[in-house]
Amino acid sequence: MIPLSHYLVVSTILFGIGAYGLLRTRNAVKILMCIEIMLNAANINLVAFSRYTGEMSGQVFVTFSISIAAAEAAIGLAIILVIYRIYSTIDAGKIDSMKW
Amino acid sequence: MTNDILVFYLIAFTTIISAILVITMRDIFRCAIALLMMFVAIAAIFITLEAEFIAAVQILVYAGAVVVLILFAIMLTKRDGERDMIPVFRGLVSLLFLLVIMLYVGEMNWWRYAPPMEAEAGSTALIGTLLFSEFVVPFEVISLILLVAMIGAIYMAKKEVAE
Repeated sequence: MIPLSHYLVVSTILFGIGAYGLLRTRNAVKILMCIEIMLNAANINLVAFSRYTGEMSGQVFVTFSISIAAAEAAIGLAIILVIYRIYSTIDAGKIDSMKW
Repeated sequence: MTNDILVFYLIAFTTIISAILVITMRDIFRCAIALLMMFVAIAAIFITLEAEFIAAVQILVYAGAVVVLILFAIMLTKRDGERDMIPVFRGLVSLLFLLVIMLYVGEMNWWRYAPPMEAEAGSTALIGTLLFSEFVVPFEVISLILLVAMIGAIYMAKKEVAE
């Protein structure tokens, strides 16, 4: 059987990749994609711990987390569309009317 | 025994490679396709953990809905924001973060945990029971959140009628 630490390492690497992509890119859609990567890394952790401790509530929480992620993606992409309509760009570095 | 490990390594390799592709490729459309690949590989990881229900939900929600939403957003907007930034500092910050977590994982000796030998048969039924007994209030809150998110998204993305 696969040791628990393998899952933790995979999820950590995924989270690191997501964090790096989040810091690196300026494209708003890509920022959302990196957030999805990080959320998925957290889900792997939850399911792995739930399997290895025999506690099923971890999987219930993953169900919640997936629904939250879906809501977040819908709202985020709607916001991106509105921003694109107003600024005609989705470059996160150029949207600066609230910056002073 | 060794087969399990081999399959897991293959899946983990696919997951990590496609995640790297998501953040490195220039064409954002291809990034979305790599993201799709990553979601499917993560569903495979869930199957190795014997969480079939979560794997099915992952395929339905992420690979089905979220990727389609992202593709729509890509099609409806101009592709920009791809200018290069000096990635050294950001890379160092993420690497440091990664190292700290790795050290923590190593410190806690998580590999002492042996998996329970018998998998609970019918884990999906157990999830349903938990969802409607112990976690019924969070469940209702989540459905409210989904409704609010749906209405909000429709309201925001709706085209303004010219006065």
